[in-house]
Amino acid sequence: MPSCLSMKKAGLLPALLCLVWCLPSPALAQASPTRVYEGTIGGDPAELITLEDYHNHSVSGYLLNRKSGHLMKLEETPRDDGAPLTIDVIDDRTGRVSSALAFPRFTIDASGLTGTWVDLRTRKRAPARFRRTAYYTPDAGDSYDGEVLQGNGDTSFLFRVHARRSKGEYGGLVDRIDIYDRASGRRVQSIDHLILAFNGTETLTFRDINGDGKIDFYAQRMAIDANGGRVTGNRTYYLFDGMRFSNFAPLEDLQTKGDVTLPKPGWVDFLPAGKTDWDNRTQTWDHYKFVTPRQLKFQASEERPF
Amino acid sequence: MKWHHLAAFSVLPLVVAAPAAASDSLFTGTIGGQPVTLYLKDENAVVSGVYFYNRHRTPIRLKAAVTHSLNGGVDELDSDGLPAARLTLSFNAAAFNGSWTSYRTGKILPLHLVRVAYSQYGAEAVPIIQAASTARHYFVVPSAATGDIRAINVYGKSDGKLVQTLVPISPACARGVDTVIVEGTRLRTLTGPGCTATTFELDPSGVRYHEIR
Repeated sequence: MPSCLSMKKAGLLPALLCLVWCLPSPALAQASPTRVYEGTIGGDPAELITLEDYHNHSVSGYLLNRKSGHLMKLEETPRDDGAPLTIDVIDDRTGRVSSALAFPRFTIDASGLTGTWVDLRTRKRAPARFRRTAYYTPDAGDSYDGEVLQGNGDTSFLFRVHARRSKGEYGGLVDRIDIYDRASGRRVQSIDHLILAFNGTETLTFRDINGDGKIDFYAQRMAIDANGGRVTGNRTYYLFDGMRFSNFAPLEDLQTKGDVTLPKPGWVDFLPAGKTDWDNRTQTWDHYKFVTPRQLKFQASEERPF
Repeated sequence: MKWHHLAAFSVLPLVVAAPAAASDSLFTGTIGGQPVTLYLKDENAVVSGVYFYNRHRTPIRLKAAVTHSLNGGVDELDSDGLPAARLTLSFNAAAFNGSWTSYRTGKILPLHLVRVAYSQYGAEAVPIIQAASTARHYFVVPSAATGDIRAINVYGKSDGKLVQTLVPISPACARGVDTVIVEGTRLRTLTGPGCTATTFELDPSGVRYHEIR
């Protein structure tokens, strides 16, 4: 992170800005209230995840066909508790709406949901029945301990994070990531002994980081201070080598020394601490490139206005 | 339909608190070359609406969508309330080109719409096409600018001509495209704070409605 001490010549405003910018966020990302349902669609085992949006009074989420490993996104839809709800299902392979789940009566906090799944092309219908199995709430008055599916565009794997939080704690903690082969449903890798910040179905961010055409991911570490306070820490990065996902320390090392962004696959932009000129409102960014899937090399520096 | 005929209702006095709707828009244009009329309402970041082909004038309900998700479009619903097609729309534009895509066949038709009436916070009169209709008639609320409903226009589906203007004894409750509910030969509106439920019955001739008290 940029150093506030490096700005001793700067004025009060930049100092205040730096205070806001430099300090770790005192609050962890608040995941949308996340409810996990297990059930069947036309006899096939399925998992439904609803994400509640308080502000828009809407619902979105994910639908997983556990038999095929097919993960689909639910389009954000306004809801009115107790009223019928038809929510479009987006096929992750095409990015288009392909089917819909129609519930004659939808309540966001329902313990069970019964409705119909409809293939919008063929109009074929199948009964859909779900029973709620977990609820991950931002409310510190509730606790949780379970695995949450991650929404991702990777067609080979499914990711679940194990999240837990005791009553009275602010911010859930992720201590394990389980990776499953979509086709077989078999767990192919576990990454444990982690201390990550839980952010619901978006705890892991998927992206081709090293430009090798394979989807990698990163997550936000959780920092716990001496008083037990939980704040967001630096990112941790995992690159896929074709067999396994493994931690890539050089990126994390960079992040301890400044800001890291990922402008495009294979490229990393790094703003070292102290490389912000508040008087002239410029920053000196270093551009790095992955010259091999696990080797990051400095390319050039560039001064940018901000 | 001649929308300027409805403009008279815009001069109704603004005696009621501001309506809930943030904005209303009426568009005319074409889908696949067929003339259409489309009404959209944006209320609390949710877009809902109704449209019809001017040739048939049978309202087709649009599935409510969250405003910031509108880039993906809105669905038109079939008679079972299931998505039948997707319309890509630009809610804030006065005129735009989009597309209509059938979920069943994948057929894509060009969509061209021009906004012909627009109101923010109910400041102007925007005719609200009702989702419910009968075999012979469709219904339009000329304006909800006062926050309640002072009139309901009945139009013939066959020719689009105004058949009758229903004026409730007491102002009816505004419920957007669902202000008028059709139950057999009866039309009714719902009750709510500051407004009353109203019922109209189609007379035996099948031509005109009268209020039931």
